[in-house]
Amino acid sequence: MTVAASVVFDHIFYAYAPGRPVVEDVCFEVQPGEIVVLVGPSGCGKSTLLRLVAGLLIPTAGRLLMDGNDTGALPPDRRLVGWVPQSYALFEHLNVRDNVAFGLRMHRAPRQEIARRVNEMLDLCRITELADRPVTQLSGGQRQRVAIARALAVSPRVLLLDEPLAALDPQLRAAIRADLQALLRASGVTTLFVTHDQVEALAIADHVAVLRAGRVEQFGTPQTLWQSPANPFVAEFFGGATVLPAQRVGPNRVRLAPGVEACTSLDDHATALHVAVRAGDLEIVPDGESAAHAGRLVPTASEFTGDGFKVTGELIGAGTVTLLHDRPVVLGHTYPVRVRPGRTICVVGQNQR
Amino acid sequence: MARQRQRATDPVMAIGQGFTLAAVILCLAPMPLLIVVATTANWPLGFWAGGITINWLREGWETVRPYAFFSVRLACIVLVIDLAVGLPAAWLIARHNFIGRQALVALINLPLAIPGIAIALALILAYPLARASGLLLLLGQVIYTLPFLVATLAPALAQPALVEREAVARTLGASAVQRLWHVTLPSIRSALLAALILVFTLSMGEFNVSFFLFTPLNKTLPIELYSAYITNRVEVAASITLIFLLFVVPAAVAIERLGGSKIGQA
Amino acid sequence: MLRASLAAPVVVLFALALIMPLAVLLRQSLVEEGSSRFTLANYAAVVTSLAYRRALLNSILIAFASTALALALCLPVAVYIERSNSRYRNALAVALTIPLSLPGIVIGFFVILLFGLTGAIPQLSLLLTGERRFNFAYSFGGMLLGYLYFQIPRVVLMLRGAVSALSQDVIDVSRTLGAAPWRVYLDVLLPALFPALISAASVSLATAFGAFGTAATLSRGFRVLPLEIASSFTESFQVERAASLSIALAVLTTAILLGLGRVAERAQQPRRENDTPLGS
Repeated sequence: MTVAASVVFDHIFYAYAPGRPVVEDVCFEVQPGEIVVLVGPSGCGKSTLLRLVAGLLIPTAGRLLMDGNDTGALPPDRRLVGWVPQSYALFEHLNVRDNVAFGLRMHRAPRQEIARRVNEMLDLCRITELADRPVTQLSGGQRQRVAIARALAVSPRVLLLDEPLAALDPQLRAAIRADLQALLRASGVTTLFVTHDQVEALAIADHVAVLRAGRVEQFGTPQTLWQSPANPFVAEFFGGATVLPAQRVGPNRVRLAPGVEACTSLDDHATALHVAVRAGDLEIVPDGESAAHAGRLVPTASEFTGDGFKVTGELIGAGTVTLLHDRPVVLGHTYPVRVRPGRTICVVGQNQR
Repeated sequence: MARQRQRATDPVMAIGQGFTLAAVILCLAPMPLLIVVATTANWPLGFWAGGITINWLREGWETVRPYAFFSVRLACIVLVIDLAVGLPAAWLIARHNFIGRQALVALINLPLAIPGIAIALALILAYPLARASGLLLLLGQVIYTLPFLVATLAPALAQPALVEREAVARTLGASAVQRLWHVTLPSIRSALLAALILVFTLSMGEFNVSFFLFTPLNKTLPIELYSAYITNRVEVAASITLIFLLFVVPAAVAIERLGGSKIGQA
Repeated sequence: MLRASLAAPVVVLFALALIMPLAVLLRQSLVEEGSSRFTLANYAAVVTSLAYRRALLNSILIAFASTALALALCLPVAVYIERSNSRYRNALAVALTIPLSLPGIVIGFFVILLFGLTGAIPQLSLLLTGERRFNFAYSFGGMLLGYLYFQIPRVVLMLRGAVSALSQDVIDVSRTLGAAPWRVYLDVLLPALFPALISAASVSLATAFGAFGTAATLSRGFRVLPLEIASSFTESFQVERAASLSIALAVLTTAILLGLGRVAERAQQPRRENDTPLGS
């Protein structure tokens, strides 16, 4: 396909009006051919970033570079980006084939070239049998594939996907996500993917940018963000962790609560710290093992997950935590709890009190 | 850091803006011109040739005053009849589904499909004796304006939120009359107001039907306007038009504000 | 029964004041002049008379021309009014609806004021160039302008509803796919608004065919059907002729409304039941 482009956000600002910033000082780089996921809560500006790349919005300050060139005020019809909005925005008056062909028609490609390319895209996205169907008769997943085929048909330098899976049934999401990832890898196009679901981000991304209130909280590989979240927000939003205060009790060692001590990945010399505790970090002390020096947990809720139970409860001396257990628990009862052997807790910052 | 304001004008909107400005200029340009002509002593010689004067306006007002008041009285009667006949019909259409509902709607909208002169002619042939009394004029205007009233009221009455509120009021013990007075009418207030102003405006400006049904004793403002166009000096005609606009334009603006605007007459 | 009593007033009124008179009109169009013998001669005259045929042609010409111009002009206007964030948007919208309240005669007068013999534009051109130009109020051009003037607010109003239902995403996507602005109008907006355009066209055409006031004020030789009806009744008092012309015109306008209305309905894309209706 086309040469995939690199994208550089160089101190990008965008505001609807003075004093109402939407995106502030965004800086990161996207390498050619890679998939970068923008993740964050609603209103954090991730969709705005896509629109800035597409040229539907112009940055108030900063530069947006594609393949090293400043895009400036270049209009969308000259940027060669593929944009797939959340609603898919298919052309209702056309069938699938004509939708996919639309961009090629706008670029005045010769008729045979259009036909060839359209068939190629239909095959790639596995919608060949739907080619002559009106788009109003398609299911959500089918529409998504048509929208992507349409965007890829013009060989864009960058592909922009705005919450492509949000509109689909939850049961189908995982399967379609795998399909989508395979498709993106096969096409090799640079992709910017927006989602509010951190599971998707972990699964698909080469790099992740976590955004909050228009700013990038952290940019890195999924592994880095998971193991070394830069701050409590990233740990909680992206890692699904609970952030608790802890005391440093030695080199690489902290105490979360009476009886609950753990090794940490980072050695911060401050005494009062914040750590991120995940569901798999703690466990109820198994029967038969010593519970004398363990912490105390009082469960307040328990959910059956199929593989076991997700137990939420009060860790005495620390706060509310979640952990996994293989048997049902009695709410209100006290259980001995400790850090799972071998697990390391990450430190996410100092506890400024 | 230097903040350069790079505002990207959406060219699709820019095209729309251009066309809109052209259309607005077309629509508004006659107004100031009207004022100029009405106040020019001798228009055929040029803008304000002969000086600015209000004599034409005075003469115009003297000419049309009785007809203006007649039109207002007529419009009020039309309004009352329309409301009395149209509100129940709008209620029926909005709230009940029955065999023949489509037919009823089609019947009420029939005057929109038939040219005004045909309606007028039909009335004259059917009731030749009633023509002199002005009754035909009244009937013609009622028939012509009723579809607009119903079309404005029916959607407002059909709102699911309103129906729900009435149901809640019923469970709280309100009788049918109480529900109508305390729940329904306040809810459709703006639609009701829009409909009334609409009917008033349509009646004041109605020409096609009135042209065949008026009598010397029952002459409306637009009819007098027309004879001024044909016979009178352009300055007087402009003055009378200006007076006419004063009756009609504020109401039109009010309708647009209230959000309900329908098709007028050619 | 409640329903009957709610419907009774309007049904009775319409029966007496519309249906019955129309029936009388129809009957009168089918009788010989001065007698009550059944004949189709009046309708035959409509078809064979040169004057009436010309009036029909003229009516068709001006109705279609003004409607086409109005649609082409008002599509971008409706798009702008409905979607713009400008401060002046409301004021512009109100300005465009003012002509709705004006009867055709006033609009005709405006055209005279602007382009009549002593009109503002000819006077200006006299001042500037020494020649009285653009004096076309009483010609076809003037009438066309008048018809266009009263079409604009109606068409804009009818299109605005459809425009507001359009998704901004679709417009944006087409731009990222390389559509220049004019192509967005041609390839995206026009097809998407097609049903609304047909609907607006049907009402515009019907109104234009039935327009009397504007024609009465501006016509000097360009005869349209409503004028023929008027003159055959008031001038030559050929009641039966006027009746048949009226019936013919009424049938024409009703047919246009129903026919194009049906086309508009059919052009509306059928939507799936559980469509993902995500807008932007």
